[in-house]
Formats: sequence, C-alpha cells, structure tokens
Amino acid sequence: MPSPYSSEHSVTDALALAQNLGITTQTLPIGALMDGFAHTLDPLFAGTESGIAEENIQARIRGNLLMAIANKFDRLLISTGNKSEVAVGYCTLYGDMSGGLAAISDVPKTYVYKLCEWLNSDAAQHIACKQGNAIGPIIPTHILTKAPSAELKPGQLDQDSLPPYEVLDDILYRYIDRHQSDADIVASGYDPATVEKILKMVKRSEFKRKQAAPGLKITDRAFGTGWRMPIAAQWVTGMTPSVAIAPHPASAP
Amino acid sequence: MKIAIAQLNPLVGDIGGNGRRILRAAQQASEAGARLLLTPELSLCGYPPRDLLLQPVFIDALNQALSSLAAQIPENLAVLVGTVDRNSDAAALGQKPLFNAMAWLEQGRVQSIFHKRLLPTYDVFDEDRYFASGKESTVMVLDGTRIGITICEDLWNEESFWGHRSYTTNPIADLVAQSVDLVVNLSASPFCAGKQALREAMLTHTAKHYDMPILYVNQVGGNDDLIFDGRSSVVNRQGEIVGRGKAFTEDLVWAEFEPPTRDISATQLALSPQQSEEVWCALVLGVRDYARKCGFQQAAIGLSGGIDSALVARSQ
Repeated sequence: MPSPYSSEHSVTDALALAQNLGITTQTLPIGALMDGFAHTLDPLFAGTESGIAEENIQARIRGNLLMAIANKFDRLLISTGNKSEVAVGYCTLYGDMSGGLAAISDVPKTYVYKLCEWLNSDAAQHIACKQGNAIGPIIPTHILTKAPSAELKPGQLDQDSLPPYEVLDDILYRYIDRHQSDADIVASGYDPATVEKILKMVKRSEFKRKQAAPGLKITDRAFGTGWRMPIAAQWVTGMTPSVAIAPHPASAP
Repeated sequence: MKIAIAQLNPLVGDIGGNGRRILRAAQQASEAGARLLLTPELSLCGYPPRDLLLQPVFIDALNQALSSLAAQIPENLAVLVGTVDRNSDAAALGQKPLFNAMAWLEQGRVQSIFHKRLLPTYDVFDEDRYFASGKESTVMVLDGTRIGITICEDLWNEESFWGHRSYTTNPIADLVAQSVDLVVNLSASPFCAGKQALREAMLTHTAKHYDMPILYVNQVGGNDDLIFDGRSSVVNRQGEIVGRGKAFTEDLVWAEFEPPTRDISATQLALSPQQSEEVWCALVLGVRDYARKCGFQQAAIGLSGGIDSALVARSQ
C-alpha cells in the first residue's frame, strides 16, 4: 500500500519477502485515497500545518483497506506492531493497530532483529517447528540492514522521534519488567531527559493499548492481562514533584 | 507402575472435544498397559476459562461431561482429569463458589476430587476471582502407592528455592509430611522466554530437597494471549530430569515408577529449544492456534517492506 512517501525499496523488499515465503500479494497504492481525505477535510484543515493528523490518515487508510480485505475474504488480519512501539505509542489506533491479533506486540524491536537474524541463519533450518523446506535467507538482507521508518512523511526515520532501540528497549525493560523508578533507570546510566520522555510516552499511550488487539505473551510481563494500568491517571513513576501534603491555601487562617 | 502423561492442547469451552481428547489418550494408555493417566490442569474445559466460570450452566456441563467420561474409561486405568468442583460451603463460609480441581476417574465413576490450594493472582492470573483455596493437601492411594496431588501453583511456593514465601502454606511440604511416595503436579503454565529453565531448576531443587520423584504435566497450545509450551517433565528423587515431553506440540509421555525403590524412569527425553528458537516456536504456535481456534483458515497482513511485518509474515 505505497504512498507518495514510500521509498522504492519498501515495495521491492516487500515483494521479495513475499516471493521467498510463497505468499500472494496485491499492491494497492493509497495516493488517490489520501487526496480524497485531503479534499474532504480541506474546509477544516485549510491554512493549518500538515502534521500527525495527516500522517495518521495514511495509516488509517491502510488499516481500512486491510479490514475490508479481511471482511471480504474471511481472513484474520494480523497487526505487526512490536513491543517497543506499542509501549511508547509509536503506532496508529485504527491504523496499523487494526486487526484481530497483534502477533509480535510482546517482542521488543531489538529482539525482532535478533529473531530475524536467527531465522536467516543455518541453525534455523532445522528448528523443531520448521515450516516448509526453504533454504537460505528468507528475509531479504536489506530489510534487516535499512534504518527503520514509518514513511509517513518525506525522509522520516524512527530515530527522529525515539532514542536508539537498544536504549529504548533497555529503559522499557527496566520499567515494565523490573518495576524500576525513573531514578533507578537514570542511575543505571541513562540521560534523565530521555528517561522522562520515554516514561511519559508510555503513560500517555495507555488508551491505545486498551484498544489494541490481543498480543502473544513471550516475556515476563506483556501488555494485556498482565498489565493493568489506569488511563485517566496522574502518576508517572516517581516523577510527581512532591507528595508532601500541604494544607489548601483557602483553609489557612 | 506405568504412568502416562497426556500433554494436551484443549480448546477452551469445547468440553465435548476436550473430553474426547482425554478419552483417546486413556485408550492409548490402557492399550500400553498404563495404570495411571495424568492430564493438565482444567483439561476438560481448557485453561484459562476466565469468566465462563461465572456461568452456572458451564459448571453443569462440565459435571455432566465428567460423569460421561468416567463411564467410558477403560478397565484397570485411573485417570486424573482437570475440572471444576462446586464449593458447597461457599455461602455459609463466605468463600468463592468453585474449586479448581482434579477428578480421579476409575471403574466408571468419580472416585475422588482433589482441590488446588494455592491460587495465583499475579501477572496474567486471576484465580481468586472464581476459586476458593483447597483446605488441605490430599493423597491418592493407588494399589498401595501414595501419590501426592498438586495443581500448578501448589508447586511454586518452595521457600528453600525462592528465598521467600508467596503463600502461607506449602502443599509439597504438607504432602511430604503425609509420607507420599511421589508427587504429581498437573499444570497449565504459560510460556515466557526462559520459563522452562526456571521450571526445571525449581523441579530439580524440590525433588532433591524432599527426596521426592515429581511428575510435572503441562498443557500445550495457544489460548488467546497465552502460549503453553508443554515440555512435561519427569524428575527422579535425585533431582534429575529423566523424561520430557515435546515442546509446543501435543505429546504422550510414558514413565515407569517402581514402588519399592521409588525410582522413576521415562521412555523419552525430548529436546527443549532455547532462546531464539523457543521464542520463535512460541510465536508460530500462538498465531496458528489463535487463528485455528477462532475459526480462520487464512490471514491478511500489510507488508511494509520493514522488519516487523517481515517477521509476522514469516510466522504464518
């Protein structure tokens, strides 16, 4: 579902993967649908700066097309967001979060790389749950080596909005699995501003996770039944400036 | 005494289908000359049944299926079936209305019912929502052999292993005090990366600590967000893992217990995948079972050319 912002390699890499896996594909360009949305919203959006709303429309067009295909042909739509994205809300509700199962929503991005590298290795050719008889790297190497991007605007990279995934995943692990406070995480050597930003992103995206498809648990603590956080809440681990209870000014004599 | 472990993949709520799966395992066990067949926790309804347990008609159906299954168990075979038992004292004592239970089926009827004592409420578990704790640890005496019955969490409170207690009571220690010859643990223990290594360390420690053979039975299959990895284990009283069921697939494991010496052996020690391989196998089983159990033949995925959708596409 390429848009005008999709790079050429997005299409060629996706097609190469599909060929290696032997799955059928259909390329559905979304440019005309984006124009249709822009035209309809023009009376409201004219004169505003293009931003998140326009970016998310692209993800939602794709989600809509995928759900239409799932409905028409009685297929289970599987969403593809990883744990790092789902944790910080780097995903679009009713867009790429659409679907009946979030297959890798408990797999951190760094582990997605690790699994793909392992799948392409010789060792993986003889695994217990082996599928098919494919030999050689199934996942095209370029998919593993290129910089991750949502491609919702020209030249966009994940790392424009997020710290490097090694940093992000370790901060998330300390917070989610190990219940560490912001101070604990900073003490382990991370930049305080980065830690604060990430933990606030986790808190702010609670409403998205509440509406996400069920995900498969593979870590000690997965979002879903093992993560029961309030949505309309104030607390971000340890960052409340002071919990000393002072008398209300109005009640002072 | 030949003991069979049926490592089953139930469909939650498919009481008839799950019962047929247990009966088929019972027929195989009987043909192979087994005296006892073990099945996982809540094997008749599948784990976790969640709020289906709040429907009285669901409990009625389980009880009917249990009687019907009991009537068909082959002669000279005892079967432990995971089911739910009504708590007749609930209203009088202010307790939850059900027990998480194992029923001993033999000679056409339910011989006895054993109750789970330790009810987990952490992480994905919410058993206090439905179940009352069993009052005491109970022993199944089979041809003179004293078998301690425990259900899943009952095994997970060994202070000498964890360095702390999570519950007041320790059912394993209670059973050891009742001079059991071996302990069986009927589980539905969900997967996470590295879980089997932890389970085997705990089993090894506990068996050695109490000089007690342990037969550990685990459910297999994906049920919604949870993936059960099987790998049922047979542990001798020296703490050695002498038998293991396959990972991420149904299996029937055979163990031989010698009452005079309390030695135990098994015919199979399946490989246990680790690290990337176990996570990969878990994801594949989770996706396949979710689709199959929800009634889908095919899936749709948006391929972006990126690594996330590549991994998801590969898992189909």
